[in-house]
Amino acid sequence: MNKKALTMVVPVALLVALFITPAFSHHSFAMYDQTKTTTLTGVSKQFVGQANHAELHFILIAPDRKGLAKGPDGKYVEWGVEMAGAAAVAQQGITAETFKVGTVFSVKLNPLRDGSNFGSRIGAIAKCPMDPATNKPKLPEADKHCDSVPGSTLLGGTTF
Amino acid sequence: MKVRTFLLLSTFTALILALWLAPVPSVVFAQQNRDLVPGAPGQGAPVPGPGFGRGGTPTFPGPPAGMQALPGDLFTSKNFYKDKVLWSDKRYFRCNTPRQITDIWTSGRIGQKPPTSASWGDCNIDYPREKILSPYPYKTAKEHYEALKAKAKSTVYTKATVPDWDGWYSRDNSYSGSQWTWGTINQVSTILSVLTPEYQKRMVQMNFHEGVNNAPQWNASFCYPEGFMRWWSQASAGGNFQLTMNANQVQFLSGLAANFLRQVLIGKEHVQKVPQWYGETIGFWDGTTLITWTANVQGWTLSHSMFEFSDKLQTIETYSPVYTNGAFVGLDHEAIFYDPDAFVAPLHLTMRFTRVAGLDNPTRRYTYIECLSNLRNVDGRPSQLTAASDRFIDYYGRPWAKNWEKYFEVGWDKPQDDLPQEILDIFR
Repeated sequence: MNKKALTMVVPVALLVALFITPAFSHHSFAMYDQTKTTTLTGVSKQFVGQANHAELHFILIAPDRKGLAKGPDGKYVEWGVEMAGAAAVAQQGITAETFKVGTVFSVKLNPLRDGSNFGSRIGAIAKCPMDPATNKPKLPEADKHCDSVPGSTLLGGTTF
Repeated sequence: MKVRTFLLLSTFTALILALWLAPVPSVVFAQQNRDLVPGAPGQGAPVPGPGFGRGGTPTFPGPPAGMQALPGDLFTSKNFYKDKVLWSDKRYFRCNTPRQITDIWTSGRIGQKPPTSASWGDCNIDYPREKILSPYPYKTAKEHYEALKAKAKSTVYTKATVPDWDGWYSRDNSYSGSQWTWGTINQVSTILSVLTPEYQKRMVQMNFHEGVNNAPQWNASFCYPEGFMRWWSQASAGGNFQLTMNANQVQFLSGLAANFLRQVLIGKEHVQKVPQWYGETIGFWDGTTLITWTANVQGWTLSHSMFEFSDKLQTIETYSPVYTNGAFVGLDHEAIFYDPDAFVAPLHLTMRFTRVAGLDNPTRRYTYIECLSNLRNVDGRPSQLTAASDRFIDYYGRPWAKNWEKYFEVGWDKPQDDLPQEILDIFR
């Protein structure tokens, strides 16, 4: 193999190695229904920066995107999503600073088998952009998610 | 270079790397580690490296060629206690390693009609039992320690002369092929063969409830202590440590889900009267080799379809410096596990720890782990509680105040909590 070939192959191989480099989890993910994927859009209420598994707690936005969702009891609908450890997701740009209270985002998750409002994140998080004119987040159209809003950003992945 | 040649070379190299890393099957990555980034920092070792070895064996929908299934096995049993005579047969576990049994639901290897559709592992994979057993003649840790001490060149260091091993260490992953405590390289029946009947029973019980009932009880899920032997587990990262030392003690600090603090007290005796989670360790120097004896360990579990150990567990460990071209590069470590309650004979394990940075490294930190979990067993299986549950603890939301408000402020006229203004303002 000539030098040129090596210089091309090695980076590719390293990329592959990085891609498949594993990490450890601290609990089994058997509690999540991995046959179901739920896509949700909400407003960040709390970023929980735990070392083992960081969490985002958020209030669901109604499907028409005109207000916060409320349950049959009239209360706001709160969801949570768990991710990798805080240090790991920080490398993806997911921190308390980038997900301040009021940040609007969309996420895909495997929900809990018991039907509770919590899940395990899958792939990228789409953040809705801020509208400089109103200093408020630009919201997606009805039944759409942040990835559909021009200027949105993806964190922790390249596709939503 | 032509495109075709480049693609071929790239593919070949990638495949070699993938095999070398012996990774979790891709389905496991998709399900368990889907959002983890490469290089996620641990304590001493930022990235688990080559030889990961979790579940990296072939999967068979039925018995591999030449292997005859038993009429009944773990995945068809109604009462595993009554199958005791079969536990020594690897086919009872369908040739799955302990780790594969732990992951059998999340990896999708349980099949379409669980649990009877559970996949088979590779019946040829195994680490020899004779290599797990201690090669030394000693029956107890005390006997072993005293024998080593009797023939040692007694060495007493001062602060000025003590070896300089300070630094950050990582496991040398070229040793992963011998790490039987990881549960990734053995048939279950081989591990069972080094356990006493009571501890065999406990291990099969764990295999059954993890593999068949999908009811894992991992320590970190519930913020249980890791326990002493978890220092040698793969996922605990116990062997990726910060080491600091002086003439009186050598300290190892590590952990991902919980903290491992191990201190070797040089020239001391055991004085603890009750078992400690990580034992009590004394030691002495034989030239530049550190010899340690850990006793007074709290009995616990290695978990993840492996085995339990008793509070009789004691270890003799040696740490010997490794040099390359005259420069110190790491430590060779040997551990002998003595536990007459749990093990039929003393067990043996070696590892090399590579010093990857000095303590003067400007960016490395040890982050103390506070395990905060809202996982609780619900109908026998761990599940994440949500804010809607009475049992949920909002650790970052003044949980102490929540208690007062729930029990002592009911009906009071006081400022009402609502959503933060930043959220409400979005729709105003």
